[in-house]
Parts: sequence; structure tokens; C-alpha cells
Amino acid sequence: MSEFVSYQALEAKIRARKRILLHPSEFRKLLELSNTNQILDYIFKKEAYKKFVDYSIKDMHRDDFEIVLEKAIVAEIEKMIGFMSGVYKDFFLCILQRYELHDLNLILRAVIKDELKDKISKYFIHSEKYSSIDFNKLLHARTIEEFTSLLKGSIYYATMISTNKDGILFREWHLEMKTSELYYSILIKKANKLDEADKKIATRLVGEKIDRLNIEWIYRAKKYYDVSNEEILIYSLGKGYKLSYTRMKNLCYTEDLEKFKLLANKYLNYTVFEANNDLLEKRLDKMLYEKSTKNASKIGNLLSYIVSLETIQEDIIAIIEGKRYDLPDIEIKKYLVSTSNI
Amino acid sequence: MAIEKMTMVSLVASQKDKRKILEKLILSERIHLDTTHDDLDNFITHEYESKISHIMEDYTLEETDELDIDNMSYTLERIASSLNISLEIDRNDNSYTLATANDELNKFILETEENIEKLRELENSHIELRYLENIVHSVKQKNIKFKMLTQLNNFGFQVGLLAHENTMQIRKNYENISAIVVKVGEVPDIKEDIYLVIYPNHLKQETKNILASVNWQKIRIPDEFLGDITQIEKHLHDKIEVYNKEIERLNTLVYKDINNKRQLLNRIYTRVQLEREILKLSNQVYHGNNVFVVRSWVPQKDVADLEKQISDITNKYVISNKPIEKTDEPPTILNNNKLFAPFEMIVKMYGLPSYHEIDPTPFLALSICLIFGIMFGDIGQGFLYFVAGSIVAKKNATAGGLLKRLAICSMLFGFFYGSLFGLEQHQLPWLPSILGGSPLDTDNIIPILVASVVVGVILLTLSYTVGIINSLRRSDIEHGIFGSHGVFGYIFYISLILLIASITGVIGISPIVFEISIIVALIVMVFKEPLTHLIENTRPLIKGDKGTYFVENGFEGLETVLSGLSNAISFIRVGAFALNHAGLFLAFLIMSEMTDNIILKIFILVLGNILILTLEGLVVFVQCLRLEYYEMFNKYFMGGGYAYNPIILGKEQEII
Repeated sequence: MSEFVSYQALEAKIRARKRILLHPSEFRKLLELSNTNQILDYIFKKEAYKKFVDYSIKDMHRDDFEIVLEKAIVAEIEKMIGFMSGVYKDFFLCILQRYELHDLNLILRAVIKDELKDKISKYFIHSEKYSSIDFNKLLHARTIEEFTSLLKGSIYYATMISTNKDGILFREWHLEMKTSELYYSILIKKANKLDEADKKIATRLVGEKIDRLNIEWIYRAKKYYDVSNEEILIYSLGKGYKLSYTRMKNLCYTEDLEKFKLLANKYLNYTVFEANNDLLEKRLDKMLYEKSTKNASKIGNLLSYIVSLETIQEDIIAIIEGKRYDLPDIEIKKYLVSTSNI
Repeated sequence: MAIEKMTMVSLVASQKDKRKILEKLILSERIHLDTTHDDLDNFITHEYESKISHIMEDYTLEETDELDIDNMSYTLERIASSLNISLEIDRNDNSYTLATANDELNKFILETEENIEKLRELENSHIELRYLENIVHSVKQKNIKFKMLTQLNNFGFQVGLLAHENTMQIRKNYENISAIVVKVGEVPDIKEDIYLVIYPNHLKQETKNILASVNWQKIRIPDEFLGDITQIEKHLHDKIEVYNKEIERLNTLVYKDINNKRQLLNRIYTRVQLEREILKLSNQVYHGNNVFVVRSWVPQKDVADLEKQISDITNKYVISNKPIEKTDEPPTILNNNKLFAPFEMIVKMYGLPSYHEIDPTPFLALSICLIFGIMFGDIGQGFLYFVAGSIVAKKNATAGGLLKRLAICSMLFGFFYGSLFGLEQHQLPWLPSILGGSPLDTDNIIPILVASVVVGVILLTLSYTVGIINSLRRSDIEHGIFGSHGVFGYIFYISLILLIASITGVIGISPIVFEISIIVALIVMVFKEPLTHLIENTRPLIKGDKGTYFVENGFEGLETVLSGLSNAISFIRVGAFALNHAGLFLAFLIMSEMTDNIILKIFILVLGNILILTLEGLVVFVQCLRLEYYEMFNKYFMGGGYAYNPIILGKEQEII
């Protein structure tokens, strides 16, 4: 019983949860509603989101409902963990830690900018049930050093301690990139401990996620940031699925952006860069969504469930934002990832 | 009655004396502030005001600044933590004002802070130097001439640490890196390697960026130490020695009379905490123009003492304590004698009784002892529990006390059954036994089971009675008389028992009598709402939809039948566990008889006893809790009370 995951129970559970979560098939209904408040009402009537809604907020902003949706995802993963133990539990706990990372970054940014931190806790999404970090104490940290010392014992401590303060101040994203590098290397390590069949699926799916992040990072860095090719390569994440180190090196040292796009499409075997479509993020999300939801089995089923929850969340936000700015439905549909024919 | 009598005390006094009075109230540690009466409106405050206006005079309010307190408390905590002192409330000295406390604190800082800071600074640089020394020691290439490197015109250099996975990133892409990167040593305890990086000056920024991206930890070697490695080592060593001596000197200075310092800091801390509490309380009391009103729950026995304490400060006050009415909801303090007190824990796990309820502790204590004794009666094992209880009592008096009391009952019933570590008269003929023979003897089994049902009937009868009294005290006729836990619920239950008794021929009354009374009781219970309304003379008889009412109550009736049956049978478990207790040991006894080896025999019997003491003891205790909570508490105990939680300095108030 030490290493155990009950797929039957989980699949039954996930099927049952579909009723209380929003499903892409309902997007048409959302689009028919006339304003954002009606959409929010519709969504928050669903059991899964209801309990996270803070009804004291009168005028919900994007941040506020994004948090509600994120919390619902975290709650779903928490529930899944109840059905597993051993290395499987470890792996999914690690997946949960990504949300912890989000909150840590929030606090850290406030520490760096020396902002008031009393309102941050409202935006926390980490799993309170499984978190090993005392976020309340972190909120009282005044300096980066204090913040670092409070992380002692967690997996982030090593990265924090080896990053000097100048590095953090020099580039805001430096630490974020470094922690996510650490995070994905741990996630891959945990995936490698799973049973043979699951290990194959899990490392592939995590690898595809890494590919997705790398392409976005390299493209943006080349286009917008003043960063040398060597650094772009260093900040890229390792252990991708399609993108080996040599392929990444080729991508990083391609000076012409058009050539880069062709090369990326070829490597990923997917048209991420379309001729007249500049919504790169959406294309990448779509790639990940399609690749992970196609023929998912065993652990793939669970991971694709998480990916689709995240995708639905992005889509809901796209719909609401689209409505807020009075975009016509046809325009909004361009921003939707999980479904193209509604 | 084991619930402490409370009084609602309203204290009205001049705002001029507010600080002093509030201070006194906090120090009395008896004030449970009543904040439920938000409706204490201006009218009442003014009424109080007019009552005492004739003794008022002009004054100016002295207000404490909250910021001051926060600042003081922050400084205090900083100093305490730098001196490794944990601050505590000092209850001895109270003739002390915030101003003096502040002066003393400032004086203390003036005298000591400089030294403390110097010490901390030295300690930090000491640690840094030790770290540097460690790294310099780990450099393998001893022939690097740093002095000469600094004199290069067109090249810069850096020494630093790189983690292994980061070196891989540089190594794999070395052809594109703009510097020479040489490994010069390794630090085994942090698994990082030491590198020397040399770069042309015009590529300085690029190199720095790359190094930053691989988490390069630059090591700064102070100019004074520069030279070759052996020179650096020697310099470092000398400097560390100097630091060591200085640190030792400062240590003796800083930690001189640490006890006096601790006392002083605690005294200041106490005052600061007290001021903080006063401010907090002051925000919670009601203010008129000249007066303020504190309303709080105080145990009745303490009121006179409290009033005396206030009268020592001023004579301009009015204290009124009004008798408690049924609608009031005072906090609860359980107050039981020594014998019953540990059992309060079991009650609190379920819920505190509300003020107007009967405290279930004595009844629970007696009944749980009785059923535990019946189920787990053994002189020897009881004695071991008693010893265990005495040991536990040193750590946790309540749990230990509970265990000791249960153990005594176990021993008493051990004499009844005649059982010593499971051995009975059959094995030890000299053992005293009231029952005679083993509980498992064929003559004894049925009487034990029947007796346990009788015990159950008695306990449930008492439970019903207490429940009915509680309901009637709340003037709740519907539940007290007609409900399934009321008078008719009891009639139903007892008829069921008597019906079984009459069918089996134990009593000579015809079963029909009981069948009729069961049916009548059921019908009454179904019609409880209209019957109540009829008595209370309220209309309509049934609120809401009639159909729904009868469906709901029909099912409730069915549930009553089921729970009545389970109630009747439930207590058989008490007897069953008594038999089981003997049976479990019998199994080990038979096993021990299978061998002739005396050591093995004893080993098996000891093992059996250990199993019984741990596993069975636990199971029996859980069964006791089940019977208490499920069969008895739900008949008579609501548990809707809240705890008396007075303001006590240094204790965080629980928010309920």
C-alpha cells in the first residue's frame, strides 16, 4: 500500500466533478450573457467555485475572480491527492507547489519594492492543506535576507541563498526563472520515480510543458529583452520533450526571427507560429492542451485533467475580459483555447 | 450544580479614572467582557451618566499613544532577542507607569545597545571570515598570485562559487562564453566548486551578466589580505584570532548580570503589555460624555472583591449587578469537585454545557466508571492502569486523573469477577470473587448480559429524566413532553423493554398492554407540534404545509422505533465486552497450556496481558465514549455553552 494510486476511484471522481465545474460546452451560454456580472453569477453558482467567492467584494476585478478560479483548481488537485500515496503523492504534491511558487513571488516582489503586504494574502492560492511554508511569517519579512532565512528547510532555500541580492535587483525575473528551473527539475525527478508506464507518460507531459515555456521565453527574450544568446540558453529550462539541448542551442543562436519561427514549428511538429496570428501564448496553450488531452491514459488522464482545468480558467478569463471590452463574440472566440467550434 | 454562578456586572465610572480602573480590572483577571449587547445604546449610557453626574467634575483626558506602545514593544523584542531572553509577564511589580518604563528602556538601550550591536557586528564578520578561510583552504592551486592579477591592465578577474549543475551550463556552451573559467578547488561540505574567471575588460558587463544568470557567488577578498594563497591564509588566521578575543571581551560585558537585565526587561514588557490591553479594553467599553460603562461577566463569588478593589481607587463609580434571566447567555465555568473534575475533559470534547443546563459531568463520571469497570474488570490490569495514570499525571494531570479513576473501577470489578491478570478462581483458588467462577461459566453468561441491559435501562432512564428537566427549564414543551427524547419518548422506550420482558415471560403482564402504550406514544410523538400548540394556545396548530409535516414526522417516528430498538440492545455490549475480556485471555491461557516450557508459558501470558491492556483497553474506552456520547448525551445534553475566558495579561484571547 505504500505506493498507490486508485485510477478507478479518481476517474469516477473526476466524472462526478464535471457537474460542479464549468465545462467548455457551456461557453456558448456564457457568450450569450450580456454583461460580466451575469457571467460571474453563472460561474459562481457552480459548487466548485462558490466557496471561494468573497461576496464582500462588490466590484470584482480580474485579479479577484482569477484567484477564485485558481483556488478551485488547487482544491481539485488537493482532492486528487487523497486517492494516492508514496511516489504518486510526492509527484502531485510537487505539482501543487507551483501554486506556492506563485504566492512566494507575490511576497518577494512586495519585499523588493518595499510595498505594504497586508493585502497580498487575499491573492494567495497555495494549498493550505499541504503547504510546508509558513506564509504568515513570510508576510512579515522586511528584507530579502529575512525572507530567505524564513524559507530554510524548503526546496526554494538553496536557490534563494545562492542568488545574491544584486542579482535579484538587477533583473526582476532572474529569481523567478531560477526557481522555476529548480521546480521543473524536481518535478522531472519525481516523475522519474513513478511506475514504468506512468513515468513515460508523466515525463513526456512535463517535458511538453517545458517545451512550451522555453519557446515562449526564447522568443520573447529575443524580441523584447536585451539579453545575450548565452544567457537565453542558460535561463532556458532543461529536460524538454521535443527540444533537446542541441535544438535549444540552435534556436537560441538563430539571429533571424523568421528563421526562428520556422525552426520552432519544425522542432515542435506543430504550427505554433502562424502566418498572421500573433497570439503566441494562445497557440502554445492550444498545443499543450491538444497534446495532453489526446489519448490520455492512466496518469495522463489526471495530468490532462489539470491542464484542461487551467485551460478552462484561461478561457473564462478571456470571455470575461472580452465582454468587458465589448468585443464581438467572433473576436472573443479567437482567444479561446479549449474549443474552436462553439 | 456544578456550573459556577455568574453575574453581569455593569460598572459605570468617570472617564477621568478610566485608565486606573481598566488597569485594575485587567489585573483582577476576572473580566469576561460582554460584547453581545451591541444594543447598549446612547440612551442607557446617558441614563447611567445622569445617575452619577452629580459627582462629576472637569478633567482632561490623558490618552496613551498607540504608536508609542508599538515602538516600545518592537524595541523591547529586538533587544530581548539579541540577548536571547524570552520575555515573560512579571506579576510582582505594578506600581510603575509607562513613562518610567520608557525612561528605563531608553537608559537600558543607551547603556547596553552599543555593546550588543558591536558584538553582533563582530560575530557576523567573524562568521564571514571563517567562511572565507574555509574557502581559501579549499583552493587547490596554491600558486595563484592575486596581487599580480589586480595589476593587469586589460583584464579583470573574479573568484567565486558555482554549483555543479550551473557549471554544466557553462561547460556545454563554453565556445560562446566570453571569459576564461578555471576550476581552482572545491568546497566539499556545500558541494560547490571554486572558480577563477578572467575576462578582457571590454567584455566585463557581458561576463557579469552571464555569471549572474548562473547564480555565481562572488567571493570578495579584502585588499589587505591580497597576496598568494598561503599569505592570505595567514592574514585571515591572525584576523580571526583578534576577533575571537574581542568577542570574548564583549560577551562578558553584555551578559554581565543577565538576571537583573532580564528582570528589568520583563518589568518593562509587563507594563507595555498592560498598556496595550488597557487600550484594547478601552476601545471595547461604552463611552458617554463623561462616563464610561464596562459590562462584563464575573463569577458571583468574586464580585464583592472586585468592588472593593475599585473602591480603593475612587469613590466615583456605580456597580450594578443584575440577576441572570433566562434570556441571558452567560459564559460557563465548570466547577466540579476533585473526584469528578478530570471527566470535564470528556464533556468539553463534546461541547460545553450552556449556563442554564445541568452540568453532565457528575453523571458522566459515575456512569463511565461503572460501564468501564463492568467491561474491563481486572485487579492486576487495573493496577497497572493506575500506575500508568500516576505517571501520565505528571505530564498531564487531567488525562492521568481520568486514567486513575477508571483504573480504580476496573480493580473494584476485578474483585467482583475474581480476576487477576486474567487468571481466575479456576487457576488461583485463593482469589476473592463475588461472582464465583469465570464470567464465561455457562451459569454466568446470561445473568451478565441481562444485568448489562438493566444497567442500560437505569442509565437511560436517568438520561431521559435529566433531558426532560433541561427541556422544561427552557420551557420547551414540544421536546420535553412530546418529543422523542421527552416524556413520551421515554414511555415508548420503556414499553419496548417491558414488551420484550413480557414476551420472554420475565414479567407476568400481558404484552398487549405494552403494545398499546407503544402505539399511543408513537402517535403522540407524530402529533407533537399540534399538541404543543394546543397547550400553548397558539394557532395555527401546524405551521407550514400539513402534508410535509406528516411525512417528516412519520419518518421521524420510524426513526424513533429504530433508535429505541438500538438503545435497548446497545447496552448488551457492556456485558458482551465483559465476556470478551475473559474470552480473549482464555485464548492465551489455552495457548500457554499447549507448552510445557514454563518460560514460554509465562511469555505467552504476559504477551496476552500486554495485548489486552493496550488494544482491548482502548476499544473498551472507545465503547464507553460511544455509549456516553451517542446513547446518553443526545438524550439530555445540548452542549451549546461557551467558555468563560477572562482577560488575562500575556494570554492571547481566544476568539470564539
